[in-house]
Amino acid sequence: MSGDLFLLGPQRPNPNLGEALERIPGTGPIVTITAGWRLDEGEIDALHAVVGPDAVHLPLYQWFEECMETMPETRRRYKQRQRELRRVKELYRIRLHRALEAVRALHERADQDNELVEKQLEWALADVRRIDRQFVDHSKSLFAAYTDVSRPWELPEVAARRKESAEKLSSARAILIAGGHVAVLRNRMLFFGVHQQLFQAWLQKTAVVAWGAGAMVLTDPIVLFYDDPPDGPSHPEILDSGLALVQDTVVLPDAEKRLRLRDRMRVRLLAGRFRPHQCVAMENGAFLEMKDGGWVQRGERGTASVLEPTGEVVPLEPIA
Amino acid sequence: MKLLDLVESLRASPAATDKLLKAFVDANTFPLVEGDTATFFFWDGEPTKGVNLMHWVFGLETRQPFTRILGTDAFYLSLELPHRARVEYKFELLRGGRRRWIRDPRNDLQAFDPFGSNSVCPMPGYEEPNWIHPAENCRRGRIESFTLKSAEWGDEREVTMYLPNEYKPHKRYPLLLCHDGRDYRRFANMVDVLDALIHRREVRPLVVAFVDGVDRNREYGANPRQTVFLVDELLPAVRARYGVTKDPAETGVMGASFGAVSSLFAHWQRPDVFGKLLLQSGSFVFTDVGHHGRSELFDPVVEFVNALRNDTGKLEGRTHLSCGVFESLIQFNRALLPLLRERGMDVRYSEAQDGHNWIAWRDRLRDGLTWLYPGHLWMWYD
Repeated sequence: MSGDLFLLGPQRPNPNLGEALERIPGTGPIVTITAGWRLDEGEIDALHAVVGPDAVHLPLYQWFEECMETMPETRRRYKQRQRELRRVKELYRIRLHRALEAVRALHERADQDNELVEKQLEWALADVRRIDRQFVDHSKSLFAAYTDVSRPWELPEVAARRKESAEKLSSARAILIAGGHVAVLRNRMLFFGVHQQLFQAWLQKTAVVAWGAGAMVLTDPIVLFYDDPPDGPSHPEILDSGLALVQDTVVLPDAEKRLRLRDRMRVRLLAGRFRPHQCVAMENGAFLEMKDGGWVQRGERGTASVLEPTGEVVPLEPIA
Repeated sequence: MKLLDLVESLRASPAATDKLLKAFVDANTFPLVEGDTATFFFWDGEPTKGVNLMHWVFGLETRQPFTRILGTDAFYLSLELPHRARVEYKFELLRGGRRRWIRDPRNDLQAFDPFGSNSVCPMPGYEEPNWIHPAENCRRGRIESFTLKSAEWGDEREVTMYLPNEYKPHKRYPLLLCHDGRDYRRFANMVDVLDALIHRREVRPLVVAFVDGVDRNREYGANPRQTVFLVDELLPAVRARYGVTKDPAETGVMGASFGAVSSLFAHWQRPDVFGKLLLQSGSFVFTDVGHHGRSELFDPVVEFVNALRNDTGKLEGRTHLSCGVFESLIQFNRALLPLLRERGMDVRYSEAQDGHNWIAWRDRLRDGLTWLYPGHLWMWYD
């Protein structure tokens, strides 16, 4: 038995965090993680005003900056690994874009020889999935290969902060993970081993509420997406593995703005590519609760939708 | 009614000329655009000797005569234009022995510049960018200004600062110096564009210092004194007053036309100061032999670009270079591209089916700013 798990849509322009908090019973500290805000991590007044006097901040971004300043060798190795990971990402993109190009070309022929093309399309999509999987595996092995920085929370210089986060999280009634820069948020949580502590706390019935990038880091893998960047149309790509508190779901915050949801071919490709994961679009006002391994929509209709492999975008019906 | 039908009707019913023409102009919007052909049309009921189309499309005759519809004072001119073209134009009327330039009286679409305004003919493939106006919920930046006493120019210059919405004085933001700052704000919507692109996280929050010249063409035309002004006066003054970076890699300079020349010239003279250049329709005229054939204002420019072409020294930094294909400068900009790359600059280049005007420069701002100061678009999820 674990704690409640709520995923919210972006908190702008109309926040609904308060509604989620109302569903969390009891008293006790509510820990806020805002490392995704980077330099603005400490600007928590508005957030804590909603949370109330129980709010306790976990300043992971600041801690990380302090560690990097005082641990030059760790910093050097950490940056070296990050550089290699970025290189792996560049190489992944080369393969991915070519494979996606093949999928797109086959889609364009789908009307001509439907059955023949469908078979090829299935294989082409399997190629894309394989490339995604290999990228995640490659990243994981590279991450682990840097043994001296693969478990930084065990380093003596980090131990005090690790202890502090353990104390805060283990006594928390709820843990809130805000949006922002998804890679920064993920990496700061991993650096201090907060992912393990979060998981432990959740198993011991601490509620977890997350939105935007905060919701994304709980999934596995983390999928980045923006269909119309300045350089022209693009395709979703995997950032890396996530914390896997949320299984079988790809979270897509602000999907209306970031994705061409009316383009059935793109929706179909996205949903099919990450199957059996369910791709869930979350707009401002979305309020999902995990119940019996599935999502219950507590927000208004139209704020959360599922992208189907057929290319349809189907709203999650609010619970009565 | 189509133009050909009008001509036929006029031929068949000369007595109804005014009525037919009035019905025609009332029933259409002008210029008439069909496929890749734009037809310009003039008739105001007054006796007119002739009409010319005045435009700034390099490669076409600047003054294109209209054809008179026989027996009328109505005129037309059809031009085939590229699909995504956007053309600014005026009509030249020949009346009473005089020539007079006017905007197309039947076209409400106008573009403004420091000299007034022109009529605009957008072809079907041209789309006004959706990022030139900030979204309703956009958090806007703010504008403030200070007066800089310039020892180099011996006068005082107004510096207008754009500070992004999130601006906090204790932080260190990327900085961009902008030549012709007033015109970029007025005619290229640059403040709105900055707000919109920063809000969309396509561009990092940055501070922009807008400045203007007094004797603009002489100051911007590869003038070492302007470099001194930018580097030794403006930059320290901005850094002393605002939370901006001292890192050259995050410090940029930009401009259009002679403003682009001034930007590149400053970087060439002082390569350790600016790490980012945004060069729009730069007047990078050079010669292989003989005189450049332009006004004497170009003398120092040509001298600079020729020297740059002969110089083998390394130039670093990230640059966005752009030019309109309807500009006489297009070949010079195309020639500059490999040169800058060979010298070591990381250059992105874009062309538009447009001319030497502020809307074209506005429309390229997204390309330039996202290349120079990319935001966390892919990574940021509120």
